[in-house]
Amino acid sequence: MKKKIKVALAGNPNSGKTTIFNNLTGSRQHVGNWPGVTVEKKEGTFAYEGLNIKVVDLPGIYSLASHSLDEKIARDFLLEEKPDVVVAIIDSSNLERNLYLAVQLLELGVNLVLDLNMIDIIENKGMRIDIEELSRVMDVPVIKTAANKGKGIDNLKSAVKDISVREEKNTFEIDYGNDLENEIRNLSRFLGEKKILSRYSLRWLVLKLLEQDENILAKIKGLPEEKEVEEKVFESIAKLEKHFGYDVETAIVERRYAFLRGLVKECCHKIMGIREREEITDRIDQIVTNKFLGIPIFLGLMWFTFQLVFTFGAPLADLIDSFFGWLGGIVSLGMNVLAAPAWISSLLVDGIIGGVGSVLIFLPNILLLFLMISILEGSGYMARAAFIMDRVMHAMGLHGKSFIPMMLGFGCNIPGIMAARTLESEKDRILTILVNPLMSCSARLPIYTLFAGAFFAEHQGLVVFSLYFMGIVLAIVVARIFKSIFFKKEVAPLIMELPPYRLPQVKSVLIHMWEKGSLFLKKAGTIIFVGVMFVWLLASLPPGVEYAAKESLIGKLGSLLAPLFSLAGFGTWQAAVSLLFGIVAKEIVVGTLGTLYGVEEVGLKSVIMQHFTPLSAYAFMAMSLIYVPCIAAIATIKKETNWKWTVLAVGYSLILGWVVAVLIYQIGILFI
Amino acid sequence: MVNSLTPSLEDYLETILMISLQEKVVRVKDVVKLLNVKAASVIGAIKILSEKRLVNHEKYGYIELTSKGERAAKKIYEKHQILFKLFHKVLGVNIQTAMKDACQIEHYISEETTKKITELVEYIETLSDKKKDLWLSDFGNFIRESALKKKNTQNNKDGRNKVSSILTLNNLKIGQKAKIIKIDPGSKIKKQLLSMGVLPGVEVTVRKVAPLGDPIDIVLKGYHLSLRKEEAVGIEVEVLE
Repeated sequence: MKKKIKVALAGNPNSGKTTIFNNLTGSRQHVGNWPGVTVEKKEGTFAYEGLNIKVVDLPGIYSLASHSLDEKIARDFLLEEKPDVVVAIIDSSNLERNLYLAVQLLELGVNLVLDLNMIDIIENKGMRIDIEELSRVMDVPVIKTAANKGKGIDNLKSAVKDISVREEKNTFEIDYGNDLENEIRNLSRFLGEKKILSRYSLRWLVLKLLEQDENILAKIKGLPEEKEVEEKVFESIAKLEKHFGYDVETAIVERRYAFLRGLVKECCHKIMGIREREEITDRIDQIVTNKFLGIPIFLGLMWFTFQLVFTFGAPLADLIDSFFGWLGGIVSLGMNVLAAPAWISSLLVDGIIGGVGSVLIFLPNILLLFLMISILEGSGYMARAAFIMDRVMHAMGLHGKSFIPMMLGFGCNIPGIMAARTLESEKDRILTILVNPLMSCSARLPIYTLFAGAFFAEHQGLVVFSLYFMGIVLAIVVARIFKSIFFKKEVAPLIMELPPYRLPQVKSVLIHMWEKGSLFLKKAGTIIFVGVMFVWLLASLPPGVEYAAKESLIGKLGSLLAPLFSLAGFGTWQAAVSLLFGIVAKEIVVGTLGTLYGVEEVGLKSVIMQHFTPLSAYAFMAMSLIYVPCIAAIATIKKETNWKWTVLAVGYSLILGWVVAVLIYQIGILFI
Repeated sequence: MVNSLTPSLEDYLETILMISLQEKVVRVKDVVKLLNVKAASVIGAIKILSEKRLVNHEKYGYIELTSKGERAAKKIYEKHQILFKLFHKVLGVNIQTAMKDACQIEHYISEETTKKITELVEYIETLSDKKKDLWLSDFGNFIRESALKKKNTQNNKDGRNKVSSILTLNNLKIGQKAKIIKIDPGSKIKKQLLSMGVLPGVEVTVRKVAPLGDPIDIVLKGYHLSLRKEEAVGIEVEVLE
């Protein structure tokens, strides 16, 4: 039996944490959620010299002050789960601010390894960091890595192994100066004697009390000594504030940074300044966030993303298309040869192959979309997009950071809704979540590509772009309305680092792409499959009915709903039924249409051209865009908010979708 | 009559009440300690108070408030509490000053004004946390901005060459370098700013303004940080160049 240890990776956003994680664990990783919340939790394992090492990737944070959900998650994990080793991943080109987190980790009392990542960036500039000195002062092992080049990973592994058996306590302490140290000593003595919250490191506890950390104060509440502790702390704070002339929290942070400035000066013969670090970044930013060019470049990039997805995705999609056509033909032929009952042949060809095939065909588009998204994220452009768009998002009543969930929403609303967690204010989060389904997700692509391909073959890109654009405009309107109804005056701050531009790592991009792609596949494999099979069943019942005929269960259901949609120009029972099943997952709409018209992907185009006009097709696409988020999205909204908001999200989109579709058709008919 | 009490006698009454709330009995030496006065003065004051039937005091024994005395003391104590809340929690006056001023004003303020202040403080306390912060930071911004305006007009009067070098961060022009002086202590984003190194004494340079005019991009401690102008309002800086 191998010995098991648990390692946590902590670091600032953009410190290369994910790259380190990928390098350590390779493909042995698992993406899930932190318990009780929907912030992504990445775990993985690797074996090293007889050790079985489990790695947990903590959210990217700047401090352990726990003012945001990410910080709270990281801190709770460190405090409650007590990992054997914590690796602090440091961006070597910005030591001071990155080490700030490391200092807090040490104060928390974790078993730390310092990893100076991206060391190549500074060494290429001829700079050096005296890691022996750093290691001596902070009393921790210091490792150099260049994770994007795979360098130093073995050293890191061996340092983790060595430190995991470290017995002696870390001796590092920041000297906060006489006044603070006096109060720290007083309070430590008091808390120590009373054994209050003794599971935490005493010095850390005292510092947090002096900083008036809300979480720790909440833990003090309810203790028998509550009043006494509060009084003592208050006394100390009053004394210190009188002395400093400003608040103790600022004073503590100031001392930490002052210490770090000294330490960095001592360890680097030359400190990497903004000029060296951001030389290229600044030059790029002069163009990319330029007053006049910034917005055109941004819009251009968005346009390019969609062109890439369509133009590059099409041939691959065609390939998968013909494969499923071929497979259906073979199976159908085989069934004939075997003289199998018609319903089995129908189940296989119409149900399984037709259904799953209609979804798999769009995998190339989805992978390409996520490729682009992870390049935008990995390169650092996403933060610029938020910077450029904040004014607009802010005017919508949202936050520059809401742009990112919205952008992700184009891939899939589920990660989009989940990414809304990066927003600190609950109001911003709820608004972002509510309008996120209006961001046309990739599952709606099948519908657009089918209809736009059939009716607007010449201007496919333009028509699809117009739908995306419509979603954005509606999101603005809806967000504004909801904001004025539900949250009149609240705004969350935008305090966001603009990281240096970096070349996205091929490996990271691929892993990211694969993760999201396989998530889609899993959905395709389960929900969609079940959905399509359910349709097939409804279409085959009652027994003896001709497959998907008007007399089947599904036909009756559709006929019941059809009159509602005749105002929008698609009052056929087939359209109604497909929309109904689109609630299960939007990608099913196409599969359902295929099943209902009894054709596969290949024949579907010509069939729908008989049943729709270009105008009603456009209205149908608009309806598909807007009405009710899919079941998975509804479930995610519920998980992130509560039933009240979930019901609102479903209700408003259903009504809005119908109204818009009817308006498009009725107004359009006047001109045609 | 209570009305004829001097401020210092009112202080004694209040102090006796405060001690009696925490301890079982009130002794002369407790009052001496808390008010930091001579024992003789305390005994003198107690004598007058017992003549007025506000306290009972046997020689060398405990001091007790009569029901009349307790009513009077409570009235003063409540005034003190509400004034302290107004000064410290609402207006952001520091604890010592708030305490001191409350101790002074409690003796002179009318019932009517006290009632109005109580209502105002209660109103602010009923606001949700976020609204409260907003209210307080709005208030803070207003004060700073009007102070700045005053200062600038003052400077203009004094002569054009003297330009105020203390600004809020949002007023800096692109390329201007400045030193952070203060972060609005009432600001909800203070913690976040502090942990990212936005601290008093740190130098910042405004690099860019977003194409649409907001947010701004500042450089500090070797990295780029973007924040909205409305957030930069809470950061006071001194222009360096």
